[in-house]
Amino acid sequence: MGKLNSGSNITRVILFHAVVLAVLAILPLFLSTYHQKLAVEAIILSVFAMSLDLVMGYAGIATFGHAAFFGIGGYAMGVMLKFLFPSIWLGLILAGFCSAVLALFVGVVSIRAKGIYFAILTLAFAEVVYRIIFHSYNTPLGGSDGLVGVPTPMLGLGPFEINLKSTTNFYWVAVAFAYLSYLVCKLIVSSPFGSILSGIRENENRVPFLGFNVKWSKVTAFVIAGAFAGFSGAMFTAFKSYADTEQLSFLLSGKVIVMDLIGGIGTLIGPMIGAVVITVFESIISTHFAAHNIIIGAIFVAVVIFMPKGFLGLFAKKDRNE
Amino acid sequence: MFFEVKELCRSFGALQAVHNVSFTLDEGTTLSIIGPNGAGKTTLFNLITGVFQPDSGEVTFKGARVTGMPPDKLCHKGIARSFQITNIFQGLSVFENIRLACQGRKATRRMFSHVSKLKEPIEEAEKILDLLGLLDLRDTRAGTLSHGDQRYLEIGMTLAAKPSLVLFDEPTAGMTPMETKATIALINKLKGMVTIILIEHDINMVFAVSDRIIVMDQGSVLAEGLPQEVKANEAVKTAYFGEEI
Repeated sequence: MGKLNSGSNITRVILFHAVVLAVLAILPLFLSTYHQKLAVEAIILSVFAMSLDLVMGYAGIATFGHAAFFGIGGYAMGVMLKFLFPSIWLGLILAGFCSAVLALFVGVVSIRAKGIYFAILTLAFAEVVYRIIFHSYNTPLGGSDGLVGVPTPMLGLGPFEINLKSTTNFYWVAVAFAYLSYLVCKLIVSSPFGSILSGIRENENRVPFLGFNVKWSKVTAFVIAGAFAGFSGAMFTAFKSYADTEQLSFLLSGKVIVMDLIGGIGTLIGPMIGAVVITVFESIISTHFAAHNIIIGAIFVAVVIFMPKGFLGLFAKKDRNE
Repeated sequence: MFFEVKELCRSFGALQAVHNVSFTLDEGTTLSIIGPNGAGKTTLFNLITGVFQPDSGEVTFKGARVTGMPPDKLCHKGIARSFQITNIFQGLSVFENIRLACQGRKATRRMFSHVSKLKEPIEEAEKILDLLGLLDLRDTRAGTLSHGDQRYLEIGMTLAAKPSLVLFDEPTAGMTPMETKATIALINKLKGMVTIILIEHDINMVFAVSDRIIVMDQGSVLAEGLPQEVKANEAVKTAYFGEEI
């Protein structure tokens, strides 16, 4: 009986994924180019938001500097495409590598500190990265002007080549990128390693007594999250044809936290939805209202007070013990 | 010698929390540590299990020096402990609590496969839940369990590491008399299978399960011996039991 149930559950999950992917696939056919572009941005940012969920939602580590990894990934892609080799794949690899190395460094140095102290250290590191790049005028990175004029090469996919200059094509690539990233992250959080992270979130002090090294588990989570942030930053630069310091800024680090909390942390999919909601919403109201961040701030406050588990919490099954 | 603590000392400021504590332990025996509040019992546990570093002294386990070793390493060596204040994963289910604890003992192969494929830890977790009588509560969120069941879960998580030496810090704290009885039965079941060091205030339990007893007072060992010797010791009577027992 139990087996039958889980079998039909898997079918249901696969069916659900297929429907969502199908809807996402045909969506651009109904969108103007402007809205397609917005959708691409939202989808790329959804991976960034999901990467933060690995550390914040699963391991329970607050970080205020996540944009540093997104931005470094973006710059890595820009440098690869503009100066080294016109390959999106190599750009992604370089971006993931650079962001992961930065995350490893920040993680190893800061992980002794817990809670808010760790968060402040990540903020400080992110600010250092931001300042260094902001003032790098006489380097190829372009200082506060950003790294502009990043070419958009074809995306090689075995025997095929996808022209990424077409927004519709980029949209589909972004959907595939987000979906694959989601699957990998889902795998990570459902693994024994994922359970250790949940243990750390629930009760960090008990975890070592069960035979786990808390410090390295946290650093590993931080590095994986950094790498995914780097991948999404790289896609962002490939799409926008530039990398600039805004991608590294504290504003973005803050915004991604808002995305995660609004969507519902500890769910992976919640933060992705949060990213889409915030990006789309921001674009709609910013055309009507200059100080749109005030409205976003108000929504954020309302969500935190009235829906502490985020949008996804509205649909979650009620805990039968509560 | 299976387990040995030698002249262990630790001060916090001017307070000598643990002072020159030494004892040895044979494999398969049960040792209880008793003493009034503030005698240094839990601090001694914290020194043995790597929570605090001792100022001086030595701890050896199966012939190897394990002084100040971090808890995760001690767990791999076969030393596990429970806590006086329930220390579980409130937001995870009862089963997840135990499975996570079972998972930690082994080194980290297959760290990124799916948890449902962890055959051994899952089977062991089921066994432990059965032993503790928590199978019916398998999918309940740990934080919503009754106090007694949380205490059982705490014990179960400690056993999940399959330790050869277990340190129980007041396992019956806050339990009802019925639950205490069940815990005594459980510890008697464990006796012989593992070596146990027990901190306990319930004197009936101490005399029911212990092979040897150490009495601590103000950080030092006041008396040590067989249960009947400790019972007869004059200094112990005054310091701990009052004039009469």
